[in-house]
Amino acid sequence: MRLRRAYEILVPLVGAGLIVWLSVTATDLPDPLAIHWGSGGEPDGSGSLGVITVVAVALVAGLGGLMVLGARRMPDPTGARMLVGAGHWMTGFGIGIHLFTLRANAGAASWEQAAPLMGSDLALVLLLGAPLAAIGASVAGDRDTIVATMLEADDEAVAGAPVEGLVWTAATRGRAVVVMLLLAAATNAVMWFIAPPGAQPLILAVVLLPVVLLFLFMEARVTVGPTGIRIGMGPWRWPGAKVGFDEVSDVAVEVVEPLRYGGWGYRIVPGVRAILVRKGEGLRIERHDAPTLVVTVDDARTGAAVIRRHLGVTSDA
Amino acid sequence: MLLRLDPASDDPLHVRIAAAVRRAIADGEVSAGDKLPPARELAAALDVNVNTVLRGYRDLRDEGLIELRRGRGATVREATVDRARLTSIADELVREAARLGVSTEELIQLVEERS
Repeated sequence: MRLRRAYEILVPLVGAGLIVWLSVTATDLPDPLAIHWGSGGEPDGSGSLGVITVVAVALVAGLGGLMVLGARRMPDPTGARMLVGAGHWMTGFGIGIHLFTLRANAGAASWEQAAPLMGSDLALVLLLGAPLAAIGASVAGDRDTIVATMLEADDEAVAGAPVEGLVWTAATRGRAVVVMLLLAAATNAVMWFIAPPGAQPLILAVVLLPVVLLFLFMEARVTVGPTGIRIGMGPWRWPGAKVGFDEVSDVAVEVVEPLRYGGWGYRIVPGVRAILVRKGEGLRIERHDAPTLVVTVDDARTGAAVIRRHLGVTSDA
Repeated sequence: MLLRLDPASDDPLHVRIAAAVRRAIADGEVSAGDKLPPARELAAALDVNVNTVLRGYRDLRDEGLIELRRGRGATVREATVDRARLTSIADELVREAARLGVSTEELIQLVEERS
């Protein structure tokens, strides 16, 4: 198993090394060289060898490597196969782009005279990663499914209290998400200043506004009262759901690993709708004829205890 | 936050809501600086008018236990926990006295003898 895990991460690392070696040993290149080709296939953008090497290495070792490392957190083999496969495809793609760039520029007097990009070149670049992805995905399947950890509801917290008078509320914002969004906002603020004149309104609308909206929405809210359960995201509780106790078949407290559901935010996977703003404790509400609801929220053990009282699983005795 | 309202009480709902919040503060469920659930949310959970909840929150504000700010909601004030605990104990004392048939005057006399 260790050999397989080593192979998974070696592919993007070796790929990055190969890209650097190709750049170091390349000869007879114009400076600057052609680094971008337009829709007609002709070169239409230039840059330095150093910059494109860094970009290719970032794609391969950075993005590809991140995908492989992310696969380590996947709770099931299928998800792991997909991520490792994607990461290894990215490695092939990065090497392919770099190879083509160097080959197209070899012997050209200037970047404008670099060879055009043909359809066959593009196909090769895209397909180069396919065998790597297939092998990587096959290797990555050799892992056990990690079963979710469940916690006990805190039934003692609501013992003795009449169920008609019990109300439980929680609003949880993921801290890591807030930090990431602040970083994204800061990056976008820098873009504001370096963008060409006139682009600022576009940056505001297309870049900063989604960041602000994401910040607003990455809060999970749950209320449990005599009228039922209400869950939702953000101040408008959308997306969300209102659930009557008669619809609920079971409630549990799960230590949620967001990658089990494909990531953070509002997740739709077969049989489940999830609101995930962080990893950690959350409510798992199973329903008779509807998808299970999973929501990461603080003090979920008390929330589950209140729901169990309403379901009649426990009483006020 | 867990709130325990007393469904058997004859008190108006806004009084029971205020008592439940007071008890939550006294029990340490809620700390200074914590936000109370938005009135709209609590009203929906209890299936009551939002003004009923707001009335309860205003009572708590008048007691100095919480701050109410338009657009920012209700926040538990600093250094109110002990006071809330005391008020919660007083609520229980009054309830127990009523259960035992002790009049308000007798109860006041009991407290004065011990002060």
